[in-house]
Amino acid sequence: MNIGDRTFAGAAALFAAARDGDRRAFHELVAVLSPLLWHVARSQGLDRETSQDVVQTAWLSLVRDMRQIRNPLALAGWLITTTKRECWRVRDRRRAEVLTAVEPDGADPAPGPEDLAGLDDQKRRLWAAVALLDERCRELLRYVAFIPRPDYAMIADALDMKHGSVGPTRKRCLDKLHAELRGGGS
Amino acid sequence: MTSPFDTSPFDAEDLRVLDELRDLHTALDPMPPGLVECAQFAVDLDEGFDIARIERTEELAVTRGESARQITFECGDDVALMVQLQVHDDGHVRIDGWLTPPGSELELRTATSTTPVDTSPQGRFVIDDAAPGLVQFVVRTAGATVATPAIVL
Repeated sequence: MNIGDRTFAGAAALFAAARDGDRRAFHELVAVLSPLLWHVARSQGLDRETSQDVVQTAWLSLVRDMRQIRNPLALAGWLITTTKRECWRVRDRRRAEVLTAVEPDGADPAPGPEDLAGLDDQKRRLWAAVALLDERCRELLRYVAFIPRPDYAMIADALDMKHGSVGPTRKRCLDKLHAELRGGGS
Repeated sequence: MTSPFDTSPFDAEDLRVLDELRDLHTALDPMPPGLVECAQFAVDLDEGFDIARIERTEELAVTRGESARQITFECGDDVALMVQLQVHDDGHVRIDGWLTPPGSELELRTATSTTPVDTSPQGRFVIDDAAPGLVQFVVRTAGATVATPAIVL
């Protein structure tokens, strides 16, 4: 019971309060979950400026549609989906414009050697291990890393249940990463 | 009786790697420092609005060293708002705008106030001397209220 209560005391509880009109709770929610939305947008290949617009739009969408989310544990999943949808919208529009535009598609490339040069050995090792994972695992673990820790239930809801399996996908990705970290470098 | 979701699905090693992963992504691709503040400002709205998305941002040719940009917001096919922002030497900003459909009401929201903006019958408007900072536009048409994301002047 206690564990259950504690689990619920993170973003889900903030959202429940925000839905009841608590603006400070909403602000806190924005502070806690914006990093997740930022990395969702960036993982979809949008440049930094457009990613900022998309994150804001996702939050505005939440204000607009708040009442539709009955289960606070569904919040992270809802926000991830909404952010991705906004990203696809932007990409579709740009693709339509590309015939006339001089600007290339706004896609931002993966970090290059100059970005990695600034990392310490441990981070570089982790990056090398992550790079060996399949795309879906890379994306999933990137999102999991940015969901606040007390919200385990939200993580399960956001990432696993949609894929029809509670736990295995996330576990499989983490296990692969552990294996790469243990064996990959040596 | 606890549900499977109540307990942590991660062991200590998982948590350590996830922490490192968060640090790694934060180092490689840090969230812009002003984004949270910007989003917090933007969401301080009453429910019952639709969203005018930023469809285009262009830097405009500058005159006398003053920088200018143009931003277009759209909500479906019905509502569009185009603003040209020109930063004066003192940091204040002149906003030249055009709003459609004409006859809609326009409000400028800042951190400290919400001000109605006069628009011409054709939907044109000028805000001559806006203070730098976060602003948001709210448009009220006959049928709907439409809000833009916040932008930094």
